[in-house]
Amino acid sequence: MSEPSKVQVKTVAELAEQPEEYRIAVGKLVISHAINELYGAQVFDEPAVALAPTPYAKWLTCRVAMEEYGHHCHFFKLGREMGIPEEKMIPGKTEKRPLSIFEHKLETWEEFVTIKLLGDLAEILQVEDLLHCTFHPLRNLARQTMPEERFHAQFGIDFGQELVKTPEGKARLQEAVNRIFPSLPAFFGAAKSRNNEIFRKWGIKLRTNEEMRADYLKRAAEVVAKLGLTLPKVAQAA
Amino acid sequence: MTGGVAAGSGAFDALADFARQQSELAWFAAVGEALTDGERAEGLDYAKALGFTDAAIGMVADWPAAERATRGAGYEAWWSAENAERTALLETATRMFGRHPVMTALTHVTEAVSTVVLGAASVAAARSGVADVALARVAAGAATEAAYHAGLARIAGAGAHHPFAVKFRLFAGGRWPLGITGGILHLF
Repeated sequence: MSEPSKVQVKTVAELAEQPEEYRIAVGKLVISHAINELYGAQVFDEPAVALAPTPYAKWLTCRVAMEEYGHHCHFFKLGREMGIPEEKMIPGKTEKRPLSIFEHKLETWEEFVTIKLLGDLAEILQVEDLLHCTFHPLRNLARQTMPEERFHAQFGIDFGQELVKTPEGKARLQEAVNRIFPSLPAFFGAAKSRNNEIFRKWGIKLRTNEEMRADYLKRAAEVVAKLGLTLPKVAQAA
Repeated sequence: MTGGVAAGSGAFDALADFARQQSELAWFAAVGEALTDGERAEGLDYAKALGFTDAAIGMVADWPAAERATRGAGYEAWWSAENAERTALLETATRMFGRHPVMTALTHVTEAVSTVVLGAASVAAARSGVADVALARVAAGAATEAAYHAGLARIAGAGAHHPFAVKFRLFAGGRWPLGITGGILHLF
């Protein structure tokens, strides 16, 4: 049996030789990313095309939607290679409940900009934590998708900067931040999570949920401060 | 629905061929070049087919001008006209074959086009001395939408004169139609 601190799994084939705890833990992460990437594309990016204020924004949103969908496809493909049933990786077919953020019905362009600004920042932190993952196919996928994730967050910053140029736009964006942000810290999972303990034991992830959430709150506050906005107070624990 | 799909297998085969062709097109290869008479005529046909019977063609000369045009205001009427066409075609196609098979086939088209257009737009912009990852993505998004629209028109049985078919021909010839505002079709 592999020693948790030394394990490095270079291929999907090698995964089959790992302890069940390792295989299940990696599978949970792949399923989670496959589902969340598709939820994001379906619940936010596709509806946002109709809310975009200009052709530039509309087509950029189209592209972002395709990139998010592409991320789903990458995780889905890896999951299939690992032997994960397809229905476990598709929203609507899986029994796994969506994150609360995905139950929000997108109604304004400002809400979408907020999702990119702060929601994709949360996604970046999750992907950053996989950049040194001991399961190399997942590590490589994280490295592959990271540049696009960063671009999506930059999309939020760029359109946020446009909105705050007018007092009315700034007020609408602040309202959207106030509505959207409270559901985002829960994205990092429960404190003292058993799953997270196993992820760290095997070097699949690096940080505790609490550490990631604290880092997220700090970075989110910095991002909105640059736009002259503030974050609403939220409960710290998920 | 299964019977509908079986009856329309020729249409789905044709759409699969259309998806495969996406990597062979001259995406953005002619942007910035002088418009030919044929391209001007296609542009006017596209505008007329959408209901803009008095539209004129506005040549867009370079990538910065294309960005300014796409960031402008006043595109709502054009946008609504395209959306009305899209909605009507989707209803027709869904009635003929069922929503899931249609959307699955169109997803194959958008996947195919997405893999090639960002690179093509980036190269075309770079040739003009423009390195703008956001603008290249805007162009890629426009091309993907055009392929989706054209695929939808095909599966719904719309002919070669449908505005989405005409618009796609402009993209396939290396152009980028930027939209209609103020009675002008901005053509890059």
